[in-house]
Amino acid sequence: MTDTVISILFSGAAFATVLYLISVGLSITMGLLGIANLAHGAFAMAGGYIAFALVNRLGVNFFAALLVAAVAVAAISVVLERLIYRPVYDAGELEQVLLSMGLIFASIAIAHFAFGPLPLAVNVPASLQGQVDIGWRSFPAYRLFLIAFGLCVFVTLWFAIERTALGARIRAAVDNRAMAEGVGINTRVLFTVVFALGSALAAVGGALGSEVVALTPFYPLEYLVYFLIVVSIGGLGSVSGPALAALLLGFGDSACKILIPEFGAFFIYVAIFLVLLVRPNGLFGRAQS
Amino acid sequence: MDQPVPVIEARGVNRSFGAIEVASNINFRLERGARHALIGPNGAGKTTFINLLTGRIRPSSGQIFLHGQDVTRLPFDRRVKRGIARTFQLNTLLRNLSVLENVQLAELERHGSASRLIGGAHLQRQAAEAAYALLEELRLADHANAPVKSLSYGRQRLVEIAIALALKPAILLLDEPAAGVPPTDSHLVFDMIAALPDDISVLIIEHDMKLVFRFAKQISVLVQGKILREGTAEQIAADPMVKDVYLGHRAHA
Repeated sequence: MTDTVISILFSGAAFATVLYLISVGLSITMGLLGIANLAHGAFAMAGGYIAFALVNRLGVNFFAALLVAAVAVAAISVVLERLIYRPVYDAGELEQVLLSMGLIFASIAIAHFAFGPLPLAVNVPASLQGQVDIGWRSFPAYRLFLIAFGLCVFVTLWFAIERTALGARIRAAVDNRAMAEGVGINTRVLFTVVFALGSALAAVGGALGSEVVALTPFYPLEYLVYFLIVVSIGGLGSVSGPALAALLLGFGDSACKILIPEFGAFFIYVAIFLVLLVRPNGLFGRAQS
Repeated sequence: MDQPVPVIEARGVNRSFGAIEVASNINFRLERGARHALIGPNGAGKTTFINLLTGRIRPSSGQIFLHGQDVTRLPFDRRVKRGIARTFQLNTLLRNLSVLENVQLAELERHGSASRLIGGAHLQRQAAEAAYALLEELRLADHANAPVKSLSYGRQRLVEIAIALALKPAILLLDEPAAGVPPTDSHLVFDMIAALPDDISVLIIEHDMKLVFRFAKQISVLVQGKILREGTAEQIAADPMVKDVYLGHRAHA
């Protein structure tokens, strides 16, 4: 019994970490400009495939590959932001949804062409293979690393948002864009920076998480619901909301899969349905409107 | 004739939304140190005009000058950096932040350039101290740590003016600063406006004629996107056309 609980918590935390890394950028960009960027998961997939190509095919160091994937995806996202997203900032939500769905399908086609339809995972470095015995039980080393990494990202983000001038600007612009501009904040530059950072984090999430969530061309579509759940339960424009939401979703998802596999994620969806009925702005949202 | 350069000037500014002309060939000068009021009936285009001056809206044609420089194509935040500050007609504070944080943010923006996106603790503390000093000066220090949303509406309007002043603007645009403030609190707003430093040029949109005549030396009357009359407070008060169009209209309303 204890074993089952520990398994649920552990695999739930690992899944939650991947969800968090990918979704937190989406939460903040949606909170900032109200852009419904459904294609955010494509950035995660791109990060994953770039790391896969570097590590598995070219034999590049795992951590170097992570860094390259993050930087490359951030650069791609800035180009897309300038060329494709900017024109629809002031358009309706339907236009934004259609545009980002189009990007999803384009990314699926590119991934399918380049890497084929089979699930792939980035090779884990030798130093993180095997089990780590922490006294009474041993855990897979890689997943421990993943969870610790997620914690570090969370703490760093929290500090950056709550305690730095950049964070103050982001909070202000999420709260009230007109007012933020009224005190001289350049929200266009701010948004580009946040968009790039969020995409880079998604890329890291996709690459680090491929061991938990395998890379397939349909990745951006298949996990879209999960990312959106994290964002909608966690609330827009927040760093800690998505963390709690990702944990809830991770634990719930792994509990359902281990305890009642015949129902799949049925109970998770029902729970989210109920939460959003009662709290349409999510459980921990920052943005009000 | 040699005229001093106005701090802000609109030359032949037009703007229409579809078929509706909200600004029609507006020529306007705000002189250095001015106490200028913009009045006019509802829907006359007063807020639109402020939005044109600040860059939230681009004119269809015509030019805007700040300190004699053409800023027609400059976005809002860049004009703020050049010394223009405004309050909004509807309260637009950062409601979840404290009073101090709201003002601190403005201080931070004034000091930090865009290249210094990540300001250290040192910069933050300096900004907080400056913000607190300003709040003391404006007699808002008692509320410094309260979230803005917990303040009375009248005091929230004061915080808005405090934020604008933290930018140390050369030009202050006040969009109905007393609107929605209960009469018991309106003297707070009036007093703060009356005590504004002389070197700030002020343009105020206001419906409260008591405040306008107490405060303004120059008045422009805007009707249907056109400047109908312009003159000293005395001239405007005595103008039969203004009385008919605006003051009369208000009396009936």
